[in-house]
Amino acid sequence: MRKFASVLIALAAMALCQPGFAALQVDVNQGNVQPLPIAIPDFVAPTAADAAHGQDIAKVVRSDLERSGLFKPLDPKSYIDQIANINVAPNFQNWRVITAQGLVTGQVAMQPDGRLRVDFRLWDVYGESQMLGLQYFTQPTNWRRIAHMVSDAIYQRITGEKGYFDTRIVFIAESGPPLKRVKRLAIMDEDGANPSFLTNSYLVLTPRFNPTAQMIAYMSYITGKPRVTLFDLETGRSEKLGDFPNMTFSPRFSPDGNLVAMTLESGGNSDVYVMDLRTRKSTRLTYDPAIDTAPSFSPDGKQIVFESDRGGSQQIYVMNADGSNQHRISFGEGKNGTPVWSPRGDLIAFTKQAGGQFGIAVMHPDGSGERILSNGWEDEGPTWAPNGRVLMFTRTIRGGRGSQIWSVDVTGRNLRRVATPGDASDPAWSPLIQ
Amino acid sequence: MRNRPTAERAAPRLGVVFSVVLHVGLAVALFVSFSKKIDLPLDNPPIVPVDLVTVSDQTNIAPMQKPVENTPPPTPQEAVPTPMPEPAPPKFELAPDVKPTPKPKPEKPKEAEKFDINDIQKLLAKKTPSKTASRNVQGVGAQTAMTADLASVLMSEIYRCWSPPTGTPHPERLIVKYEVFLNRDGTVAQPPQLAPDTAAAVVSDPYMAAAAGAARRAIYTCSPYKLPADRYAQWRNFIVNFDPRQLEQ
Repeated sequence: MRKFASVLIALAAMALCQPGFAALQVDVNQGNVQPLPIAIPDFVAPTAADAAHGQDIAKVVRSDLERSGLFKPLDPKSYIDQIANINVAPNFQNWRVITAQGLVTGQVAMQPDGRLRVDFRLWDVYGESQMLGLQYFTQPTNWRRIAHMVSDAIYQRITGEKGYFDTRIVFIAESGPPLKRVKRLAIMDEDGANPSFLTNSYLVLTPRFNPTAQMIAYMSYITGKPRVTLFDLETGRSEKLGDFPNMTFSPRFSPDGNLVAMTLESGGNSDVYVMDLRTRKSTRLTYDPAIDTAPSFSPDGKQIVFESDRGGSQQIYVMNADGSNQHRISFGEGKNGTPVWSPRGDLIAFTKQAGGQFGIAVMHPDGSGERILSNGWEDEGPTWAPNGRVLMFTRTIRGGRGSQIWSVDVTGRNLRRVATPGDASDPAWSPLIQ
Repeated sequence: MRNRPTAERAAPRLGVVFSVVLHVGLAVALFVSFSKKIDLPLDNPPIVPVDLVTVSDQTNIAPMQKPVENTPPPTPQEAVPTPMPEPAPPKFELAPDVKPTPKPKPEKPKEAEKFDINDIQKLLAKKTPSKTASRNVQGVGAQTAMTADLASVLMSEIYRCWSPPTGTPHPERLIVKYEVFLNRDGTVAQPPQLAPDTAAAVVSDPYMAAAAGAARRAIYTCSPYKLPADRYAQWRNFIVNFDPRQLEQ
């Protein structure tokens, strides 16, 4: 009996000692998806000369985060407090009043060695705690990249995913009348800044970055016949990839950058090949008499998704990287093509042609869970942000009124036009700049 | 004998005619339809209208559209709304004994047009009590009172402040459990604490860290919570599960 009583006492003691036990349980299974209100005052600067950098960096960060659709940078005119010293905790109450949930404080200072030092802190306004604090040194001309890196760090801390603001977009800049269209290879920052042309006066198509963002593969008509060409961004040199008798097109790098998958046309039949850039040896992967094209590697490099009309209409297929186990995955309405495997691996984006319209859609690699993200008159050619969260694509305007680049979140929200100098098409998103 | 074959020939012809007429009729019936307004059933999310309920041990919400009660109708004078927004019929102008109600409610013009003082009892019989007139909420629990349990009240407050993570791979795993500590005035007394299993996942998974951040912001931004002071002992601390599995991603 005494033993039983002691066991009871021990059990009671355990129950009482259990830390943080609350009887009331609340299940919240509905939400209200809203962008995060965040305040980003101009970065503090010790001198008037640095103040311009402080304002510019804060402005770029505000613009980056707003563009993502996941943040709502508050208008600086609404601030009732000013940041004078970033090493002192802010007066959180003053930021709560303007509904800010996040606060970014930063400072810029020119160093004696001529470099620019940028510090920033991300604060949880309601939790009254610092979430992040980082410091960068750079050449003053690089201030814009630093601003993008600050945006990336904030984005990652809040969303759990890497950012994509310190990236570049390579695209086809189009100009001239419809019958004499000039299509040149161009490049710009993700926010549309620093645009420049990489090629002149000849037709190029389907540019793709390699994993280090230093090399671009594209199809070029420079020799009269369409050929896959490599362009080195550092040296500015270009070279024809492989010596094939017929046209090659639709190139894409493997995740490790050592292979290029592309399409080789021969006698009216197109098939997928892979070329090893180290040995320059090519391997044929498909042997079907139908058109097999638009290959794209899975992020682990073990599989390739491609489009084929072997089943009677253009559909999406997946095979192993050695060409084995080819099987169809798209069975939805209409035709489906230009598949691109997400860098995250969870989705494949593609162009869907149904009901007389072209749209951008995503599905899981097994073909399930298809969702249409955009449906314009002619939306096509998706490319993934390096974090697999956002897509860019070409939107052709009805009536021959040119083409534009648009972006959309993988949820289908935040559809918006990407700023480009003039008409633009065929965007390719770079990896994060190293 | 000659007639028989004729009659036999006529019978199939009639059959063909009937068949054609019926088929045409069927085709016409399929093409022609009469428009009819169909009220689609509304989803009834388990949101408790907290403004109308008191907090009790269990959620017990009476349906909003009650059947008409057999209480004696009030006198016409109490129910006649004044002033009328549009010129009333002559009969109405002649009613000298009309007394204004303590809180006159402006009636909609449509109702005013239909108003007929001679038929006022019929009108009143049609009217449902004003507190339930504009809503159609299904009952919950015993459906005899207007009470919600504390968990329902808290849920209805917190969900408005929760911006759940979207677009993440496998969102079904991002369930965040926090213990919340409140002051008597409904403000957050101390930083909410992650449950041990959530805390472990937050360390290893950046998506979980982001989900925990969103949940924490929801807890803070919803503060102060409007809860019955006499039951503070029950809500001074509670566990809240943020579960995104039912959300559209």
